[in-house]
Amino acid sequence: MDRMEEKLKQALQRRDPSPDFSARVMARIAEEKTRREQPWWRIWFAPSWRMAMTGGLACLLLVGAGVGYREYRERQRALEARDQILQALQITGTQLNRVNRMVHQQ
Amino acid sequence: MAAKAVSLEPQMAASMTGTLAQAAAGDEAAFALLLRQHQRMVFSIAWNFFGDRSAAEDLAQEVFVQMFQSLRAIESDSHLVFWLRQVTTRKCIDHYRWRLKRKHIALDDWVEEGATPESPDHMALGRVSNLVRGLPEKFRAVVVLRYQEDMEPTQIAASLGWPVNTVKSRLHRALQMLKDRLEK
Repeated sequence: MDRMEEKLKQALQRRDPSPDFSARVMARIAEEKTRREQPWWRIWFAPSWRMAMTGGLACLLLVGAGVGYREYRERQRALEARDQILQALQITGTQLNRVNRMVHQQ
Repeated sequence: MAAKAVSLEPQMAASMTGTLAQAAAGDEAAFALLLRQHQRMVFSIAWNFFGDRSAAEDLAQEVFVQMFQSLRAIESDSHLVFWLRQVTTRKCIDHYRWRLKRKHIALDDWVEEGATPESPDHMALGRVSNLVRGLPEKFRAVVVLRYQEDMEPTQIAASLGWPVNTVKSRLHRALQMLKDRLEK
């Protein structure tokens, strides 16, 4: 082994990580273990999923409310149109009666 | 990235010890014991690769989380050492390339911990470490495994999945580069 190799061996000696390193790794492992052990459907209760679900529900509610309002407006317009037709028929009937009476008087 | 038993050397065919078996069965205390046994080796490979304590600890942490996920595939204590060296070195190379791509670092930006060495010997060794960190990543991996872990070129070749001649030539060229740079 030459001098360069000796120097490399000395320079690249092993050293210790921080004192809390193993505790941090064990905390990650515990997290990992919990994640692996929980049933798949528990994902629905995770905060990120809860937020996504809330957002999704809010969107659905908005769309539903929009569709409902549109249907309500259409029904209102149909009722107004029916009233107008009935009114028109009533006016026509009255006019016809008047004309009929005039014809009979002559 | 799981190391296969087929590629193991004969001396690595030792039987699985109780601790490894217990850890594979989910015993956290046994896993903690394995962690304490090997953290110095894993951290040092990453440290000698990056020269950055926080990056080295993050990478070592990732390696141990992967080890936890792969415990059932590890057959013996010697296989575990082989696996840890392999995974750590590959992660170091991948992580280094990722960081280079993102331009978070430049080779010259690496700072050796304890930048004010106490003696000329320390200074010389610090310079050697910095020069190693200036080598291309594949050369650096070979040098770290050879001189930190005292691995033979055949073992390095098995660990990294490279031909033995490639390892030998990279080692030779790395030493030449280091000598040239040290003489400058």
